[in-house]
Amino acid sequence: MNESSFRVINVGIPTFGETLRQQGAHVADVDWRPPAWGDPGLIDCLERLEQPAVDEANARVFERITASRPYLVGVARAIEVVPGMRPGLILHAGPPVTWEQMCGPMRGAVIGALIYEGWADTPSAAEEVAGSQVEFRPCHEHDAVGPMAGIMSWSMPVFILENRTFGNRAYCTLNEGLGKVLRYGAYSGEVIARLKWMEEELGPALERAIQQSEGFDVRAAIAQALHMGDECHNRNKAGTALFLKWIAPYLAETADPGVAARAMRFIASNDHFFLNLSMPCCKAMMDAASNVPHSSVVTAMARNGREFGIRVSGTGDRWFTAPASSVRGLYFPGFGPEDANPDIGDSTITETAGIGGFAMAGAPAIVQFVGGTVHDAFTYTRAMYEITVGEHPVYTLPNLDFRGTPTGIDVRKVVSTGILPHINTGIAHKLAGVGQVGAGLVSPPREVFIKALAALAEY
Amino acid sequence: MVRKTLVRKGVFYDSVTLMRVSEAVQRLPGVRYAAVLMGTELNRALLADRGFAVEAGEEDLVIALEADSAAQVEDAAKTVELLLEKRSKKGIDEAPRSVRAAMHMLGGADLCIVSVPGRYAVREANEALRLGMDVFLFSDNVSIEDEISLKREAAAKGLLVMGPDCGTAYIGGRGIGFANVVRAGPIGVVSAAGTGLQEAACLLDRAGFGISMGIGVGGRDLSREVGGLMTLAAIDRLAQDTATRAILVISKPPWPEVAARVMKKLEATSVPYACVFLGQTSTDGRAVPTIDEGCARLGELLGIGLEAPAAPEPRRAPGFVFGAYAGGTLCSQAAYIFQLLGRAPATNLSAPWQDQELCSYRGDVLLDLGADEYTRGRPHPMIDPATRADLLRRALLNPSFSVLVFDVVLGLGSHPDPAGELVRAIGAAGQDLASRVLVASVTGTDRDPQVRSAQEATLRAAGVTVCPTAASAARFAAEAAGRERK
Repeated sequence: MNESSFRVINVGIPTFGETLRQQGAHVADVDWRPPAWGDPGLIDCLERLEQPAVDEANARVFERITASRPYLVGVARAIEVVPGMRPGLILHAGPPVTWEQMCGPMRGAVIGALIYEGWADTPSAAEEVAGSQVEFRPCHEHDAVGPMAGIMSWSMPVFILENRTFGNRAYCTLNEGLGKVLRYGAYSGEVIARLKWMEEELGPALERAIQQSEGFDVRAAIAQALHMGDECHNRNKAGTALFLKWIAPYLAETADPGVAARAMRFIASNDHFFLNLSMPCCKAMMDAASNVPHSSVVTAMARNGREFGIRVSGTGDRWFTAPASSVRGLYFPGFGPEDANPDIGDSTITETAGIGGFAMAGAPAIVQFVGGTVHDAFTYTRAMYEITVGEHPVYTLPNLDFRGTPTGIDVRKVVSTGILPHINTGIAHKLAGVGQVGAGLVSPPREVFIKALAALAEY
Repeated sequence: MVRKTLVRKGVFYDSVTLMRVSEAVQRLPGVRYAAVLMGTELNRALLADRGFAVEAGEEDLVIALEADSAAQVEDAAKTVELLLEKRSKKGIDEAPRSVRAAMHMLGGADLCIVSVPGRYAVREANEALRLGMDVFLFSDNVSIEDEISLKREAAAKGLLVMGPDCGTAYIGGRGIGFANVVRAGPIGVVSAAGTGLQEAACLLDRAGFGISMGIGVGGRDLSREVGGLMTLAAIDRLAQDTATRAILVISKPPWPEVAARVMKKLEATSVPYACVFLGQTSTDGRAVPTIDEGCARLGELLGIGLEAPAAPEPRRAPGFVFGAYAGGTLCSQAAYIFQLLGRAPATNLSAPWQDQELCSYRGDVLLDLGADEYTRGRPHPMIDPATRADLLRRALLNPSFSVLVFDVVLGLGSHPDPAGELVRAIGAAGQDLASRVLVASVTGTDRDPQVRSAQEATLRAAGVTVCPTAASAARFAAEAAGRERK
């Protein structure tokens, strides 16, 4: 009896695997644990959903995500392009939240936006206006995404991304840089002045430059950046450099030298500039894959600083929410966990689309920032293959022999394996305007997947 | 006396690992009780009986300790941590968490072994079938409905589901589960669960022949409900296998129509075959009642000598027989042989036997120590002979048991010295053994880690008569006890 390669998977008692190894078989031991956190009711739900109709719907969703080709096609003021935008409407990160419930950084950003829009002169006046005259809605419900507080008001310039495969668009504000910035809730004079400059000079300059071009292929830029050590959520050095390299000649052609220089210097000084392109790129991909009946693929993960919410393709625009977790991570000197706001921002759209924390194996430099080892980075990405539909054909990881990034989170697989998505994220100070105090790793609360599973099982 | 309870949230270990840890900690000085287990409802009830109130869920690990002093409890807790750490150090974070991921890691897979608790086993088995692998289903507590649906799925895809409650198989040139180290050869075996296959494989090995494949199909496969789905699939697999020149089928007596279907399938293969339907002789002689006769019959068909060596002449010790078996099939076979010889042994083959009567019972008793009532929360007797050793010791206190019979099953995964453990327990009983007959058989080969000849020598040195097969040991025991006395 000798058949040279006999490959065995061992689920359970380790001895069975060991004795086969002694006989020269190739054995993989599964690190098994009870499915669905051992909850029999959830296992019933799972088994109702583990059927070909759902598999086929998910395959279609995967196909739509990976066929999407979002291009940067312009910059305009939000009110001109974002669906439903009007004076008095402010968009925010995450699932719906009321003014009264908003966390510190988000309230600060709203105050800043109202001062910037000229609806208030002082923070207290802005609070008054916010509580009485402003409507708040999630960015996600207006084809948009926003990092951290994710505040978008009507006059702000936004990137316009067009999915050239399916025709849908996605929008995102321009990244302001680090330090005292609106997305962390700062609203001092310098913050407002910068926003004004972005509206009046930077936005129009970028728009003219982009119109000189055929559009910027953001998906291709992400694919390249992944080969250059970015994961396009918490590390955007390469992506920013690629964007600057692309836009520079068009800026030179279309802007006054002083304007062009200021614009390029601004982009060059901010390693996260590209985040506000990678996010709407992911959003455009995931929106194209939403509303596919029976699909259990997550189309949005987002946090508003209080709650973590997800949306699932098969359940359309419905949010499944639970209290946001705190982030496990490293803090900048002088700060600690007691300063941290709970998890916040729409930037988890990157993980939803198969990059960010899911592409950690391609971004070993990031591990120092979020705490951990290079080995951990591999482990994180490998684990994500367990909960996703497929491997991205365009986003590949050289370190994993060019394996595609794990793409399309399947709610069924999350509940079945008990493995939660790994998210890389920045940590905001819980008080408005202090800014980023650290970075680290966070997972969604399992309840959001449990709720989504139950809802899918009812369909 | 000091107690301590620890709960570690969301940490999973399999029951065999935990039982080994519990056992090791239990042996520490001053420790009166040590339980390291998952917080299932059953386990929580078990702990509540010992007076430990525990707040834990199915996916939490619970450590419950009781010792003479606080220091001893602390030592025990530290030992638990150390032993568990040793288990998880093997790069567990690298390990795949699902069958699908494991398959990706191996670049494809031929077989999936499933030994997780029954209600979860079905999910994993289904996933393996979906991915196109044969399944070795060691888990018990799988409902007959689940068994049927798994086997239908497998049959439709040309795959095998070996089990549930399957302990042994030989696939891909390797022994799976509790398997003996035997030579390769031309004979394909289809058997219910485990020890029947082990016994046959060892018998063939001793006669100088080997097996091509050994396929376990589960004890219920030839029932009316399951209808022989996997037995038929296994016969197909063997018929297509170029290495297989003859087929041996071993089972409890099948449901008559199912038996007819199996016979028809065997006839259609044009491969020589023999059937062992334990305790049943078919009128046309195509089925024989014992494994020994099955092998012998196959030998006749192939023109080779496959008879078991002759058993020694029984020494008389009139009275009753107490038998304790590690192998369920071997226990069933013994019961049938006893019946054929006109004895009516009490058994636990269909319902548990009240073993508190052990010291006063008058009559033959044959127990399968692999049955649920002896394995709940404890390892199988092939892994840990302690329960069986204790029963044998207690049986010796009953003077009406003049004959003791037991099997010793060797092989990969089994206890390193089962004969030694049993012999020590018998000696420790402090009873007069001269007036009694002790008889055993060893299922194993000299290439097994425990070494058959060494195990036999251990038994003989302790005054135990060693028969060449389990069937001959059962016959020896029944004959030694003489005529049934009322």
